[in-house]
Amino acid sequence: MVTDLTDEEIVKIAVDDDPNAFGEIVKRWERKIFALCYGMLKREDEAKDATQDAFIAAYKNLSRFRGDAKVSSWLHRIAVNQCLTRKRREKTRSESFFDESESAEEKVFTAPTHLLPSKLAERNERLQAVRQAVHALPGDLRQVVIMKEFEEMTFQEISDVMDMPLSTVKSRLYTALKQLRLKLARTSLEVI
Amino acid sequence: MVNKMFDSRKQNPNCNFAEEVVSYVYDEMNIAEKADFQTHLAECSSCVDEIAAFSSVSFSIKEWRDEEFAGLKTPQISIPYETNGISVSVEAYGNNKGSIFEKLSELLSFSPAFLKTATAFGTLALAIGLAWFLMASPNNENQSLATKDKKETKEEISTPIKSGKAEESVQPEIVDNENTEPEIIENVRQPEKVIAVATPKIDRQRTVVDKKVLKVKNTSNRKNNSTRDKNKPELKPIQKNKNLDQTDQEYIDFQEIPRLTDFAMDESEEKELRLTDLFDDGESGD
Repeated sequence: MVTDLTDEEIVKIAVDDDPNAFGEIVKRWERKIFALCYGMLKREDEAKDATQDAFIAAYKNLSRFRGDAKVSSWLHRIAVNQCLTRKRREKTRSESFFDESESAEEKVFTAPTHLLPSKLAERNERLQAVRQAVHALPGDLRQVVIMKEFEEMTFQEISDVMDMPLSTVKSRLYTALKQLRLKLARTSLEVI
Repeated sequence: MVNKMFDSRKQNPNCNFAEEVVSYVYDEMNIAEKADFQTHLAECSSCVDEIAAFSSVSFSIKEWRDEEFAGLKTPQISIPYETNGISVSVEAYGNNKGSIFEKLSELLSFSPAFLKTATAFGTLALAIGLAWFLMASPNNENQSLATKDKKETKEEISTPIKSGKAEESVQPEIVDNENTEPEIIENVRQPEKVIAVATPKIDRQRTVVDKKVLKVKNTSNRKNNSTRDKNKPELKPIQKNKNLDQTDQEYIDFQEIPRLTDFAMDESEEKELRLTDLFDDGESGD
């Protein structure tokens, strides 16, 4: 069965015999790619479009996959490029790409019923602060945080996707966490 | 508090465990590395503070992710697969339900060997049973029976002349006054009428009975065979009608079989027949 094969084997089948086998790759990675795109773009509709475009681009370039890297890394790289392309387009329309005011748009979070109203308000404020802090990070740092926290990728996988040394990935994550820690401490909503 | 952490780092520049801190926070250390770092943590408060702070940040991010992203539905990806050079947009391969045959083949591929063998034998037995059922159907039986009767009729007709056992062959045991034999006899020489009578729903067995009765009636009419022969109208060749079904055609074919009245008879035979005729007349109650 196709589900028992590795990503690389499925890509080989898709290139040589049955292009429809690529659907298994889509099935395996669509959620994680969507998470990455959502974390990068902040909006659900844009994240869906970016996810669709990423898989279509991957399908059209199947023959160019050399097999020297993992399929997951290759897919993530394509998805990140798609997100960056969309960001550049959005940047031409907005004044500042990293403007914190952009992330000031508040999102309504669903309130769990077991919390007291005071706790609910505190929780919503905390979530809002985290959201804004992550969106305020520089692009390269935010990408590492999204991959680590949203997709739960390993450092090695992130290193393969971003085509950088493992130590660089860890260093960037360290820097990102430090900045987030500062921002959250500023708002006095740090959870300890 | 955060500034103190920075200061501690500056005060202790040799504490270069940044990579180990993030690896420890996200549990991506092997056993040996973890043991070494835990040894260091016992002596380095700054690293301990950073681990605590980063763990809380990571927890907050996961909470935000679960709250904002976890409820979002995964978009349905549509890949433009090419079919015969024509781009066809279909759902992802994994989402396809697949055909029943594909599912069955996937199921059989996972089945153990004995299950596959049992499936094969079961299919073979089913095919054999179905073939036997078709062979043993009533239509086949009636056809074979009609064919058999036809053969038997030919033999019985020829036998009385040779062996002189006409009376046996024409035993009126199966005379059925309820039959419309006279009509049938008359209709014999008129194939078209036979068509009207011999409908496909005619009982085969009844047809057999009718044929035997025909023989009886034919012999009973041998009294006036001489005059009969003279007055006997010539049998017109029965042309096979293509519109007839097999049942009717067989019945008509049967009529082409020569009858006792068609053969020339000796006086001795004629006498014997007369006795038979008397016997028949007595039985038939004419």
